[in-house]
Order: sequence, then structure tokens, then C-alpha cells
Amino acid sequence: MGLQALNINFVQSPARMTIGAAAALVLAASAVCGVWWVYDRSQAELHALEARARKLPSSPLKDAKRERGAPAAAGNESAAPMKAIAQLQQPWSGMLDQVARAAGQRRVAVLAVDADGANRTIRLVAHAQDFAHAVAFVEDLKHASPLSSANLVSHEMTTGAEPGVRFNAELTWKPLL
Amino acid sequence: MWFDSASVLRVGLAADHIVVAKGRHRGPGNPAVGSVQAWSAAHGGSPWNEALQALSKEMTGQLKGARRVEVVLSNRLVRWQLLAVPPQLVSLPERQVFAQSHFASVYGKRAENWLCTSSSPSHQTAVPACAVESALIFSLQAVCAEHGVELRSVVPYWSHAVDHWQSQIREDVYWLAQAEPDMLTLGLVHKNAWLGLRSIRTGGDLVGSLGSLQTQMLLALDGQVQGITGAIPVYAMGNHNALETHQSTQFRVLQPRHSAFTTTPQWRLAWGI
Repeated sequence: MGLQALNINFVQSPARMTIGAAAALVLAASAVCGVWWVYDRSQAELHALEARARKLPSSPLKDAKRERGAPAAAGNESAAPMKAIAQLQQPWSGMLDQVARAAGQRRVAVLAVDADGANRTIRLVAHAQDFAHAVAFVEDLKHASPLSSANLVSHEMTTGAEPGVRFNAELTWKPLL
Repeated sequence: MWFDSASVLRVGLAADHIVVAKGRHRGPGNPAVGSVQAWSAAHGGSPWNEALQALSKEMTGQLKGARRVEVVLSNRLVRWQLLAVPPQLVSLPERQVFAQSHFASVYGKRAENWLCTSSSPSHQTAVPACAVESALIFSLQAVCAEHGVELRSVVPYWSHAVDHWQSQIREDVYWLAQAEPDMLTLGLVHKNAWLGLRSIRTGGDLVGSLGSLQTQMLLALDGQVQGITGAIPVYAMGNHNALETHQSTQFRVLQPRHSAFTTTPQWRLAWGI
């Protein structure tokens, strides 16, 4: 390790897009596109399953079992797909739109998105040019429908080629009625 | 964003001369495109008024068309202090306020009109802090705005040169001297920590001024630092005309490679090397 660079400049030039920042933005855009693609494919599968379910005839054997007191088993069989359907019907599109909009306005690069439909939470890893932009980004999401809360979980100041702040945020959304 | 490097105007600003050149963003480029203008520094008023007038003329003259300006300030126009910046002051505004308070405690009311800043805090060591008259920065911004160009940076010569050259120094302990025509700035570094930093007007006696500053700084340390024994090498940089003539075992001159910097040392101020 050598002498620490002095880096003294009396003029604060406006933030410029460096190659590293551009790469981070491309990565973030790819991550959002990936999530969107998974969501879109899942929606298509859901519609196909629903269509198949509507076409299935009512079975006399099933009716007989139900009459003999087997409703619990039938309930278990249908619980898993219903749960999956419920998760797929979460308002992903609206939430991802809100995240992308806030990231664009606050010049925040979203590095990772981890969504948990069962618990209605999204965890973000993101990079902002300073702490004020990170806080503003989270504040924007607090007031964005369909999100019900947005919290800054942790942050870390970064130096070197990409100075700024890297932070984790957790979002939750309102349950479907 | 990426930009055309030829549109950057490099400006070296001193109290008695200005160096203006168009050049590449990185590296020495071709310093032949530009001019050096000198005048007597004995005028009243702010020492940079002449420099700003000359800069304005250059922007409308042969160097018209530049879109960005990078300025290097002679050490005659700034003041240095070593400052123990608390590690929790990570943001620039915090460090500026802290540095302002320190300069005010040293220089009193004069510091009210100064713009102060410091390097990032370093673990348990002092870092250089610098002050410049706010009016100089505002005037530079006004000149650039008048000509529709962006003032990208205003960096002290010492700061720029230290960042440029320090990777070439391997010793644990060394003097780092920057010689300008009438100014000497001297720092003492021990194991990547700053032990001292002072400036002095040389009055033409570079060697005598160097010895005087070294004595002052060693006395100020008063044996506080262990492990400094024997002769400490001096690494010299700057735009002093006769710097190379002092080259010796203990006095090592850090020379830019481009021959134009040797034949016309004034160019070094514009490039900050």
C-alpha cells in the first residue's frame, strides 16, 4: 500500500457516467429484464393451467369420495397449485415499475433483486452516488403503490473507482384482497 | 460520459504567469499547442486578476473551441496544513467544514473567505488540507460560464503532482519537495503517513530554503517519530527552471518524459506534474 491519494479538487463537477457505472447499470437492467421474463413466463403457465382446469369434467368418483368424507385429502391436493397461483398473482409488474422509476430518478443502480412472494417482500442491493440519493430512493418507494413499506436495512460507503454508497433495502407490499 | 480529449483546456495558474494548453485527458499529450504568458506580480489587488484576463483572451483566441477546463493552481495561491481528520467524516461537505474550522483557528478572520477542503481521513494519521480564496474559484467559474465551457477541476499543483509521482517512490521515509520559480513546498513522509508539510517563498535561493524548511520541520517533530535515521532522500518535482541541475544521490528529480517539459518547464504547471 502506498501513500493515500490526496484527491483535492475545489470544484464539484456534476456526476459523470464512468465505464464502471455504465456496466453496473447494464447489469441492473439485465437483472430487471430477467425478473420480468420469469414473471411473464410464469403468467403464461398460470393462464394455461387455469384453462386446463376449466376444461376438466367433474368426476363422479371424486364426488363419491367427497361424500365418503375425503374432503381433507382433496384439499391438500389443490392447496399447492392454489398457493402457486396466489404467488403468481402478486402485483410484480407494478412493483418493478416503481423500483425502476425511482432508480432512474435518483440515479441509483439496482444490482440485485430478491423477491419472496410468500412473505410479500423484495430485497434490493443497490448503489447510489451518495447517502442522500440512497435515502431519497427508499423514501420514493415508501410512497409508491402497491408497496406498503420500504426500509433501508444497511449501507456501506464505497471508495475507489466507484465512490458512493452501496445499500440494502427491503420492500413489502399490500396483500391482495 | 466519454468525451473528445482534444476539447480539454489545461490551465496552469500562478500569481505572475499563466500556462494554457490544449491536450489529452491523460498523459502529457502535445504541449506545443498553447501559450505561456508572464507579467509582474507587483500589481495591487488580487494576484490572479491578470491570470483570469489572460485566460479569457486565450478562450476567444487560438484556443477557442474548448469545452472543458482543468485548472492547476500554483502553491502561491493556496495554503496547506496537516490535519487529523476524524475517520467518521467520510463525506466531502463534512471534511470541508472541519477544514474551514481548522484554518479559521490558525488564520483567524482571513479564513472566512477561503474555500477549504482536505483529503479523505487516513487511519490515525494527519492528511493534507488546503485552502484557497473563494473569490478565485468564483471568478474562474464566471470566466468559464462566460465562454460556455465547463470548469471541470481546480486542483492545487502540490496535490496533483503528489498523486502523479508518489507511485514511483519506494523508500519508507522521504522528503517530497515541489519547487516553483519563487516557492518551495516540502512534505515529509514516513511509512505512508504525512509527518510535515510546509511552504516557503524562496527568493531565488532554492537550496537554502530547502535546508531551512527541513530544519524547521525536524525541530517541530522533536524526535516524536522513531525509526528515522541517516540521510533522508529528497524527491523533487515542480516547474523550477534549474531543478535538474541539483540532481544528486540525495536529491532526485522526478522528470516528466516528454522533452517539451524539459525545454519549457513552465508547461508542467498546466499538467500538474
